[in-house]
Amino acid sequence: MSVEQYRNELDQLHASPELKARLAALQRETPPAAKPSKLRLAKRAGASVVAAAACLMMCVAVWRGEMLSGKGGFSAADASRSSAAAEHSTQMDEAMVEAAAPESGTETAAAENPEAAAADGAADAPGAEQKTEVANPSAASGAEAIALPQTATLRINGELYRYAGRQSDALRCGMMDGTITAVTASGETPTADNQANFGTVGMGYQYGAEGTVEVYLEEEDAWFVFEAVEEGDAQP
Amino acid sequence: MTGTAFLQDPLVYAIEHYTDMVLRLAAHYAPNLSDAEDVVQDVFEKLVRFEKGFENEEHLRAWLIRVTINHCHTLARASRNSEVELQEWLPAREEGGQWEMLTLVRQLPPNYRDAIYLHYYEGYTAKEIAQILHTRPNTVLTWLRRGREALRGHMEGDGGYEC
Repeated sequence: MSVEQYRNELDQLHASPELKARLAALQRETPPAAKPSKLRLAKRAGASVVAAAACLMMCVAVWRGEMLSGKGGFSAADASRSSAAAEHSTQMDEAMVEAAAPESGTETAAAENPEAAAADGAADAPGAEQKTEVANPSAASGAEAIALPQTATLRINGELYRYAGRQSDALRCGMMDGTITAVTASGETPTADNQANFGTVGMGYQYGAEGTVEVYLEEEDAWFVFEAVEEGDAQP
Repeated sequence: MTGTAFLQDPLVYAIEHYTDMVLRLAAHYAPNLSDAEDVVQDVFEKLVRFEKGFENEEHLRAWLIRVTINHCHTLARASRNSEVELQEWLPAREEGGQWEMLTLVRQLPPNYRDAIYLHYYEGYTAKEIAQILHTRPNTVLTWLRRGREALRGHMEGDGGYEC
């Protein structure tokens, strides 16, 4: 018995005429190749914050213009004031984004600089207890929500994976590589395969790039990236 | 249809070129040939619904492998959960039997099966397999090593392996 024999055996497997007929029928039923649909753009937390702030500032500028002029429309003087207000609002936007950054910094930095995020994740492994329970409601309400605590872990094929603090916008083939079949208490380290200490049973996951695992949370409609960790680092 | 012609209709191209590949891969999981052919049909139906397109032929091929493996894993899990006893398509091991090696490979854990098929039949390197299966090359090398050891164990008659 050898590799040759294995190959020879597989060489004998061919599609039956019945299967060929079924596939031919599938071809006939399928319309000519349609154009690929537009790719969904990744959520950009920063962009949405700036857009929301800009909207708010525009409203304020309009309101101030009305109040200062004492009438419904803009005068020339109001126009200069409103442009100053717009400039001020831009500065405010930047200040708001900067102010929000420390709260959601992990994720924003992760989106822009995966290496820095990985380093961040590694840095908090040995003794960064203060960073573990991070699900910060204020950050979640503004920027892209961090829906998972950084203690979130799961075990797949004997390997332990911990939340890397970022989401993934990679293209998907649509097939899950597996699902979470058991959930332990938050903070506990999963001991069995397909077990997690967050979320719900039935969450799907796919293997990601560079040995990561990406878990889909339906309520967030987002994929969360998990990185393999050494067992010693898994303890929160 | 050659070169980039497959981009015009990946389904036609895939059916023409990769039906047997998908069938052979499915044969490592499906309890019988009929079920393996159902897997083939399911995979090509997924291809019909896949809207994102392919960068090149290798992308299409890797996609088919990955989707087939994922689908087989899902079916295997479902059959385990439903506790339905699978009928054996391939006969039990028998010296000189028609499917002797395939039967042995089918007894390996899924990841080992995938790695062995992709390496020894399709000719992919560990690095390429790692890219297709979204894992690390070292993990693939481990699967291959353990798979070989397990097969050697089966062939020497000790009837099993320890991971």
